[in-house]
Amino acid sequence: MLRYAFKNAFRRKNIAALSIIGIAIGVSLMTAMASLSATITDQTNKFAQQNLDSITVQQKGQLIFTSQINLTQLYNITVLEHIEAYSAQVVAVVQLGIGFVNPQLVGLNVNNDTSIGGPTSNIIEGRVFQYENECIISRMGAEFLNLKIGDNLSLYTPDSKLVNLTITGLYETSSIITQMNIYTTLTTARLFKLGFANDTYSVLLIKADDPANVNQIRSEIENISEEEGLNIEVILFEDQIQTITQYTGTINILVISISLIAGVAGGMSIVVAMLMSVIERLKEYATLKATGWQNTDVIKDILYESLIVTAVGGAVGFGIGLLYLGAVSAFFNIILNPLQPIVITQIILFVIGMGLAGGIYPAYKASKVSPVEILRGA
Amino acid sequence: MHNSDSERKVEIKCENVSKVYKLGSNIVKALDNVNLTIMRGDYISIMGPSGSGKTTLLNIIGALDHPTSGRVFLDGYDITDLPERKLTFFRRNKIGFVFQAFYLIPTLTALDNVLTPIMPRGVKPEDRTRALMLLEMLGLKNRVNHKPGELSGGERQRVAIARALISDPPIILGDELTGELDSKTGQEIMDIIDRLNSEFGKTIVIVTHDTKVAERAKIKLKMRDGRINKGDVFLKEG
Ligand SMILES: Nc1ncnc2c1ncn2[C@@H]1O[C@H](COP(=O)(O)OP(=O)(O)OP(=O)(O)O)[C@@H](O)[C@H]1O
Ligand SMILES: [Mg+2]
Repeated sequence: MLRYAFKNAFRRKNIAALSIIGIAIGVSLMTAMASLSATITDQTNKFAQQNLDSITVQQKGQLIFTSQINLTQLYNITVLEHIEAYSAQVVAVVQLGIGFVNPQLVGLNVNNDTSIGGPTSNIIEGRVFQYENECIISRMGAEFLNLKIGDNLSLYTPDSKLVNLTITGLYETSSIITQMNIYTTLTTARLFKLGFANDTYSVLLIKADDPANVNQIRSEIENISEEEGLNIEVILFEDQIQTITQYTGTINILVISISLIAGVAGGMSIVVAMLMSVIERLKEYATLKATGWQNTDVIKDILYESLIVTAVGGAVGFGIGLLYLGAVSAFFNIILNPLQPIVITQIILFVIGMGLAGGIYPAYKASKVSPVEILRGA
Repeated sequence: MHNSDSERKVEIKCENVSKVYKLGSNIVKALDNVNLTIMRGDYISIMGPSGSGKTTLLNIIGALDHPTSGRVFLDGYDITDLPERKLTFFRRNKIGFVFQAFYLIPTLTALDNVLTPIMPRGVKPEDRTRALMLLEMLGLKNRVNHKPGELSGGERQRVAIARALISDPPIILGDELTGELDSKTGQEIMDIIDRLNSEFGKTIVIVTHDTKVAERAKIKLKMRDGRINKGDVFLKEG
């Protein structure tokens, strides 16, 4: 039976080819989108896992790079019981090259940053900055900007002074967001923040001793803030992750819509191909029925044929999808893994769904063939 | 014939079978009260003018079509009101149909074409052996792996006969089975049909316009206006 379906699935080479192309386009889009979305979800989850113990303190109502806080005033906060480590940072937005890349320049104390597990604890090449006018960037950033250790970054301060930062090392983090940052010493970063005194910072990053304690820490900080009249707000990673989850949710909806459109298009192409093929072969189905095939046998045969064609289309599409992803990965230097179980499952379900949905109407049509009428019309 | 009359079983029986087509206000009586009893091992030809109801009768006997009224029995079973699903059982096991236009599957080899009726149930090695034996018996030993496009008309019709025989049905029905063949090839095909009757005891009913073909049958029937006119041979009426 399967053999029969195999022998007949590709009878009309051009029709089969057309529907394979239709399905391949759908599946390749689906492969690309699904693995993109799976990668993003995966990254978000990993990032979340690693950062659930982190708390950010910054000036109330400000963005991270407009916020100003005074560390001396925050002393009572830094000695709270469940705080394992903290690191205060100076964050500026700078322009690179002719201005189409706007990374954040982050000044920090290396020991403090390492104690909260920041990027300086993850140097994969070279060394961390030690002196003024040295910096580290992410490996992804280095590849994207085509820079290497020893190269200089030329940056202009808000009062138009040129500052050259020498790259001393490359770091790696699990988050695409922090991969875009340039890290340097506090003094160097302060050059880019007019009016920042020695104890002025943008944000205070806190690492709790246990993710379970972050809410307690938050309320303690808020109490201190109220008692001492501090103009600060506390942001838990939980709050940030909600925003990220909203983004990934949107991306997932986009993926689903594109997949649906691709699925409908692919499904239509298989319906049309199978209908043409079935209509051409009504006499054969009439003959098969006259020689003892049941209606269900005819239905099975056409569903098999449809599944065979969609499977081939799916395989071709998956191949094309891998090529897209290879190109995207190479261009943006990110790891997109299309071989994740969830992506494979999605594609297999998608292909089977399309094969069945596309085959069912032609199958029904062929099974309803009356041998008497078709064979008489010879 | 193999058996004496007293042992012979009734194979096919039509009782007051009528088939009426309504086309608007126009009523066509394709079959008009046909009574016919065919015994196992009978060899029957049906002739008659175009439109006299020959194909209609053959289709009803062959479990392909339902009569408008009357009853049809195959091998003692009343198949008149059986649903499609049950009729396929009779088609598969009791009937071998041979068509004028062969109706082979062009993508399959002669061997696979012979096996198509049993493919849904799974082809066992002994089925393959039987198919090869049938093809050899019909002189197609060297054509087993040829596709229909590579076969002559006569060869194609022999493949179709092998297909009709794959489930070893007791009844072979042929509608104009020599209609697309030249007269020499047609006679070769009829030699095979003769053998199926004389050597294998198949019950044969063929419809034809060719007197030479019809002459080969032991019982020659004529149809006109949906009725059977008994020919020169005695026929039991049911
Ligand atoms: N589906 C149908 N609808 C309407 N009329 C039909 C239908 N099928 C057959 N008929 C009519 O029934 C009559 C008998 O047809 P049938 O095909 O049995 O004739 P036949 O003896 O086989 O003719 P031929 O020798 O030309 O094959 C014809 O008048 C035909 O027009
Ligand atoms: Mg006819």
